[in-house]
Amino acid sequence: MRVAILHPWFLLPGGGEKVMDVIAGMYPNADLFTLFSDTRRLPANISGRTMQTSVLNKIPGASRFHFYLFPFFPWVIESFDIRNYDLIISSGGPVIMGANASQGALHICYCHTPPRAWWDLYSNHQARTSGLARAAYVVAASRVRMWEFSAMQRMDHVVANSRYIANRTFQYFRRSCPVIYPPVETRAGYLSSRHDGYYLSVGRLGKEKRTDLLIRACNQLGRRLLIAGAGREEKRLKAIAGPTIEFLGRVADAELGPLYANCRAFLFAADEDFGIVPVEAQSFGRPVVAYGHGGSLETVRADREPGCNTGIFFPEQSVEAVVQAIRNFEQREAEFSPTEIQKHARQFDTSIFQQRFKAFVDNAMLEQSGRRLA
Amino acid sequence: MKVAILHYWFLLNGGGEKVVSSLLRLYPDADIFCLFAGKDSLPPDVSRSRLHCSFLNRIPLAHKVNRALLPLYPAAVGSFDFSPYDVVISSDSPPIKAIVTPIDTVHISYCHTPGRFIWDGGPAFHASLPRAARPLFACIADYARTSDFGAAQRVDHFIANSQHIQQRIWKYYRRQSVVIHPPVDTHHGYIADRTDDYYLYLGRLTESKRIDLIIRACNALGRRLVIAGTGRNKNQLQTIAGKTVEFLGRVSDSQRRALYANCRAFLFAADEDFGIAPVEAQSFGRPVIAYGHGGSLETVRVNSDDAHSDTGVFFPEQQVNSVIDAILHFESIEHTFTPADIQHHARRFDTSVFLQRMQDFVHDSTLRHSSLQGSIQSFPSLRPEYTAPQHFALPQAQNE
Repeated sequence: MRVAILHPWFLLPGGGEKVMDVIAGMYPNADLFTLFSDTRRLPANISGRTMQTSVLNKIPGASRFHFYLFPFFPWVIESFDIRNYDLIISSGGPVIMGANASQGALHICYCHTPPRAWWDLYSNHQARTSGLARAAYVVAASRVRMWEFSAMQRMDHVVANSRYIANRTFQYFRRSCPVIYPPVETRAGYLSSRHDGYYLSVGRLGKEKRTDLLIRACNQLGRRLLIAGAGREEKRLKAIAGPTIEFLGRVADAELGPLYANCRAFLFAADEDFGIVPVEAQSFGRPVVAYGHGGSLETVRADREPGCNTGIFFPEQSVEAVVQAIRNFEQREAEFSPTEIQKHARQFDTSIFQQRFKAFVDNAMLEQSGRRLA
Repeated sequence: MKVAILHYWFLLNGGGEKVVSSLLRLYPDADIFCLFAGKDSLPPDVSRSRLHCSFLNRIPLAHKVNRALLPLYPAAVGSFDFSPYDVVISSDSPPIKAIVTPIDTVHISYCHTPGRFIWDGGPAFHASLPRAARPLFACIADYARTSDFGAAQRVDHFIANSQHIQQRIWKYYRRQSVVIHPPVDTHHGYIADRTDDYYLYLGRLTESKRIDLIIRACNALGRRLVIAGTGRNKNQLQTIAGKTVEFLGRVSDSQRRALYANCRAFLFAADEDFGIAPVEAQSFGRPVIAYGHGGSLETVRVNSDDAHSDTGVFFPEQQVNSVIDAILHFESIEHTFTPADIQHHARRFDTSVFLQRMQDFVHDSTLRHSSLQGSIQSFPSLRPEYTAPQHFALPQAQNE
């Protein structure tokens, strides 16, 4: 069986790349196709494999402004020659799934999200541009949307990474899809005998992560907050941080363990498609205080009887809401059971993803070959 | 609940604008979005402060060449930001539903028609263009159809203004819809003591209304015909009109009511998506002689079980002979029509009915939507294998 794996780009080591790494590990003989790749930053299972990059990758410095080339993605993606493969797995998100598979091939898309820049966050992105750039963006986005819609209709199967994304996929492409949660390394998690009284935030420091809310809330309450991660927003966030806030910069995976294990609770204000870090925190038995929207609603459990919950939600992205949620958490802190939380996190383990994804693909292949014989 | 109302443009005062005005009675605080808005053609209840026009409105002479800008419509409506709203109701003609709504916002499309000149009317429109413009139109129409189909799949709920449109929505978009007839002010209607001996047509004078058929039929029969209204076809119609045909031009509201109330019957040869004028005529208890196609099949009752409850007569083809036969047939059974029944029938299309149904529908679909979007209160239990999303199913049909 010849397998092709398509992924939009290997540039930053983000959540999508982690998933790709696991999938590539499951299909060790698969060929890889991608628009852009930075050979220094390939995940473990991917470096050293046959990888075909697009013509756009040859543009000098393309990895820095790759996103602005999106009007050309459709043509480039359609130019990938994937005729001779039996199974094509595309890790959707951006437009990668548009490649034309041959009739006998099975094409499965693992959808992280319909590209937010021209779907749900379109207006935000648009507002950041002006003048001619805006006009070009508006027209190009409208065209890419049309192309993407029909590409999605050609997919044999679409799998969403959460119910949140399943709903979004339905909203924009009118395709119902099953959900398989992405892989998270939860086996490494251990329970620490006591916590060190600090709150923790882990992740890239981007605007959309709303780390500013967490900082302001901890300023106001005078709570200790450790922030692991680097990003564009770092300067701005340091400027608003009070004396109880500590920036750790980028932290190696090995050092993250103790940070998670010893925190009082994990704070998370982003509206994520899935959100891997809250699950990692839970795998160390630590409760999560999260914005009750998007993927967090599925990864954090807050509606059960005391003892079974794994965190607390705040209803809106505002400082007051976070402050109140932290106070609320501290009152109810005793009722959270680390073993229960850890057990909950294990549902999202890599092994479960592998098992489910493999079963799904095998089943789809079987169905497909049945159709071919009939 | 924050509501946005989206309308294609405010350039004429027609049936579509009536829908917007009615919706504003339900949601007086709604913001209104449109592609273009003329300076003088804004309905009085649309306040300028809450009106948002697309960037196309800033193009000089855009109102004159609005149809030529068609390729830019999807981009223009795509540029609106609907994230602050709970509900977007689009009063839809071809391009306007191409908006992108965030997942928490319900998009309800009140569909007047899937754009005629890109779908079923395409070939006719193509043929009517100068030869040189045809290949260009073919390309644009192709693009517009692709965009329109994709956009139709993103609408959360479709409302069709008639069963006729419901079928077209299914045919071109493969989407189900619920029928809610557009609002007609039928409560002005009264029944006159006696009628005068004239037939009536009231409305815009354009080719698509096929007034020429009515005129020729009345010429041939020597029947008196009164035509109220004006339009770009007026001169041409006047040249074919015989002695018994009278043009009144634009008439005031009170004149209009008197005209309706005292006519012998209302003549209507257009193939309309819905057709408001025949309903208005019926609200004055007057029967309608109409082309038996499109919306008229739903607004005029013919061949009901009880002959006395019919409200008009149909002719099967848009041809003079067919109209003549229908008029003669009507005159032979004229005594069977009961004005009170006709009026009663018209009341089914009253504005109040429209408002009630719209309100119920919007309420119902937003309720479903918010319970689905996983607000914290209704956080659904975590199920690892989940097949999305049955809850998107249509609210129960509100057809009669």
